[in-house]
Amino acid sequence: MLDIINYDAFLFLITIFAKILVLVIPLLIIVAFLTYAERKVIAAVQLRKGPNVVGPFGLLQPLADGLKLFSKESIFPTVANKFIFILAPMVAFGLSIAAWAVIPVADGWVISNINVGILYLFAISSLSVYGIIMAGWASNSKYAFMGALRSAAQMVSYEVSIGLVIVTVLVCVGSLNLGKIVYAQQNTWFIFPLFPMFIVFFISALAETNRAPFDLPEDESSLVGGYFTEYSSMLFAMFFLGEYAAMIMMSGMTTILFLGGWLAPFDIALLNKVPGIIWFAGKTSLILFLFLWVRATFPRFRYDQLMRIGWKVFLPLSLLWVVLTSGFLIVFDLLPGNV
Amino acid sequence: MVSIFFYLFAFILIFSSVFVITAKNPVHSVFFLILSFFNATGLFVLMGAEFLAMLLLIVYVGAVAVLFLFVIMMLNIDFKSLRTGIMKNARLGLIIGVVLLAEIIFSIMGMHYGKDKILGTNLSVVSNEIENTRLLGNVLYTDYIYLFQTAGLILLVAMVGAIVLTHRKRDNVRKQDATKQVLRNKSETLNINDIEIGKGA
Amino acid sequence: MNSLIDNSNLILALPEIFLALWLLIFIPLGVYSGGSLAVRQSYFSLFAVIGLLGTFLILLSGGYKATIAFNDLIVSDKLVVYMKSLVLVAGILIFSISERYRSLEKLFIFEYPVLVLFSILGMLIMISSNDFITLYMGLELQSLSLYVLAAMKKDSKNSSEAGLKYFILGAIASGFLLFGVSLIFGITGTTSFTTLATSFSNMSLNQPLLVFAIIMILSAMAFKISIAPFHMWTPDVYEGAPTSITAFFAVVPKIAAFAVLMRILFIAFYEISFIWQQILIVMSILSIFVGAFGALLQTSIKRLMAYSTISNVGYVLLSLSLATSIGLESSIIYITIYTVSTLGVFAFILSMEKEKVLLDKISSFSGLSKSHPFYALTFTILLLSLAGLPPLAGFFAKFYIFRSLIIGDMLWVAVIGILGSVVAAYYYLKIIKIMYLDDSEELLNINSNNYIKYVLGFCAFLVISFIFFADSLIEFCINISKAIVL
Repeated sequence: MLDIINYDAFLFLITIFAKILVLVIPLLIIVAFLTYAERKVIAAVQLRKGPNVVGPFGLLQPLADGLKLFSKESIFPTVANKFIFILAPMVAFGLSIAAWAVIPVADGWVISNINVGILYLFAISSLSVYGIIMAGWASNSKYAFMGALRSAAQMVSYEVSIGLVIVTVLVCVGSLNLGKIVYAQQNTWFIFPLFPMFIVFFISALAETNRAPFDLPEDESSLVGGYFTEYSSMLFAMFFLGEYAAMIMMSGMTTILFLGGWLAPFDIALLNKVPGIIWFAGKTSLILFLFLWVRATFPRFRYDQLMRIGWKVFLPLSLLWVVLTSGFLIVFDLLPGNV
Repeated sequence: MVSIFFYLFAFILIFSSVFVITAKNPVHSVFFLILSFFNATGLFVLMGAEFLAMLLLIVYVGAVAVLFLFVIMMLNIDFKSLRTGIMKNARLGLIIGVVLLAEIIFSIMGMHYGKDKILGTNLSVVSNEIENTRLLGNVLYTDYIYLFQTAGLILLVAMVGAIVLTHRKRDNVRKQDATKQVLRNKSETLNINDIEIGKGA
Repeated sequence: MNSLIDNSNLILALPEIFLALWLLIFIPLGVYSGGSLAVRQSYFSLFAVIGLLGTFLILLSGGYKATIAFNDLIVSDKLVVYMKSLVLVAGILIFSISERYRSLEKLFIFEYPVLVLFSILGMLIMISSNDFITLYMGLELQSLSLYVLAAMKKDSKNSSEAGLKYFILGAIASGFLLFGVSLIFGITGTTSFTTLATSFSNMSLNQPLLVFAIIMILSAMAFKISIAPFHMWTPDVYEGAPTSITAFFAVVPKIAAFAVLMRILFIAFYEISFIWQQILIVMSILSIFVGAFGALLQTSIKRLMAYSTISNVGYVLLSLSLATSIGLESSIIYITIYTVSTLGVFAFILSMEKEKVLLDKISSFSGLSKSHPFYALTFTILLLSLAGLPPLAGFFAKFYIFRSLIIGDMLWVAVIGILGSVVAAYYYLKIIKIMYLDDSEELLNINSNNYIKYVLGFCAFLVISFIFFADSLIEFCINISKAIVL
């Protein structure tokens, strides 16, 4: 037990802690400004101006919103299960932050470069349903509960196709390590040979993060506010931040799987000079813009349509693509060996 | 440091498993079950079995436990009547439990500890040079291909069985055909009539 | 990387592979074929029977050569081939006798034959297993299909109850099996039967943990073959499940479970037979008596047959507990004769109808001798055989068991077994009395326009004429058991 006070171990912990801070603080700022970006983008689509009062171009709007949520009173329903009620937003927020531990934002810029990185990401994204389901149950309110049930069914359904899409990519890579997945795309980004899978993945990501047009868990016209009907103040803010962090996480995952992560679009010296993080951030922002664009454009799906697409279209399609891809790789002897 | 984490995970794992059984509310039981899965994942990671760890997380926590929660939350169980049933059988259960416990204690007392006591061949296959995902794949698709395929058939039976037991053919259901809905065009659905003013029905 | 997918491996698993592929064709065929279910029912059954026949032919063409394949996971020898043939033939016969029942009960869905075939596939895998993991896989494949089949009649409360009960208890039994196997793996470092056999011969055997593991495994297997004290599920499940499925339950899974039990006891755990012998003796005597006394007061023929099964499997287990070649051989003979007699009895039960409604009360047999003399006579012969009256087959089955017990110096056990069979004879004779002597209150009107009467006649014929081909069967069984135990 003496090795606890070991100097090396102490240093190791300090480094990890510093890395986490360096990653999480910018991430939270980005999350805050993503809400601003969302309002601006939707406003632009709808020919409005969006927030423009607080600060130059309304840039301080997220801060004002945060301040407002901070200063409000937390309300607990009398029949709620208090412990789980408080735990739920923490789980939702914590998980979407935890996922970033394995995402390489540039070559080698990652907190933990584990062998099964993609599985870790997949696991975390499938766990995020717990925040929602706990919130719905603990609120002891029928709207919240209905929202939670919808969300649980939806996320479990779309995980299946996400899993199969990931398998398709992995068959082409030969490793579960996120860094190796990116390196495998040095010649071609996977979006080109696997374009249908990219579409499936993107749409499933929308459903997995409960974004429009699949935002049925928080469908205000039928469920008031969905699973966070009973939440207010900071607890609500945590759900909100968690949802946006999850969006960024899914966009980052799309970037790594299909858009070549931190790699430059062409292998040209000039482009390679640009730091990897710029490319990564740029690509992720592009996907995020797609998220916002879709929200501004499409009406909400009906629940049975949502389920139909997940199980009857995406599942068979992605399964077929797994078979086709592996068949193609075997026939033309392109299977990746020991990476 | 590894040993600290081992004791931490093992401790929480055992205690949360105890709470799974003793929790009054079944929903809390499931939450404790999830907690114990998490700690089992932690133990797997410490052992270097990263693939199994992630699989446990994805399959059990991400899918199975969600469905557990789903079902238990939807059930309307009267917990009090459930408890009385337990108390009625408690005496018999206690006797059986004590007998089993005694057996296990006797067995463990007679057991020789240590890896060297195990007959068989070398059990430590965890190597640092090859990822254990690859190692697992190498034996799963070669040495154990027969079992792998059988497992597939078992899952197929589970699916067929679930469909048999739940699928009922109902009459008077108006089904929607999405393809038909999408392929419908304006001329089939919309009729624009020119009606003179004052002549409409 | 060494690939196991080569000819020598595949040939050994060819029957299973064929049946699995047949099933994979069957499922889409069932889902996508049009027309009314009632019309298609007979085609589906035919398709299933052809699949079983094909499997049977492939099995026979493979020959008897004793080999091991797929990295020691599966095995083939005389015992395997014989037991598999028994399973397949019994499966085919049960299909033909359950046609009428299914059309009366409107069990038209095509999943019925699919699941029956799946469970038979599971049994084939079980029978040829040479490793606890293979055994477990086969067992799960088999049981999972049987759970669903038991609950198949969705609008019947009894059927759902049977399915649920069977499922929960069966899952616990599987858990026991896995726990026992994991302990065995912990002690020896292997799960393969043949490796276990050698590893027991060179280790100290006084490990309490080993006893514990063997008790776990044996209780799981006892559950699957409904040996007391793990028999509780049997009467309820037999009564609640659709009768055609009950017929299946009573015969086919028992053959498979016994085949694999023989392999566990006589190959894997043969060196440590002193541990399991006493356990088996206690369990089998218990189930002989539970079966005999439990059946006395039953009014439903299905429940009665459940208790009859419990006592019959008791006899098989009793002769296995001898741990000798003679014991093994007489248990194989017993299983064979039990299969034939029980199949015949269930063929009769499945034909019990009145105004197109199926009955299962024993009292409804009254006056049968006058209204349907053929059915009454054949049923009487089968019951007398089960009761163990000479010169019918059942007598010889019990005779060989008792003979082997006496040879194995277990005279008192044999005496107890004979006492049990005397009690059991009482309720078989009671049914015969009702058929021939009681006044007819409700006359069955049996629809004889189906295969049932042929199967019934065939089984009765085999039971009577057993005396003529007894020698060759016994010779065959001796050969089988000699190949396992030296």
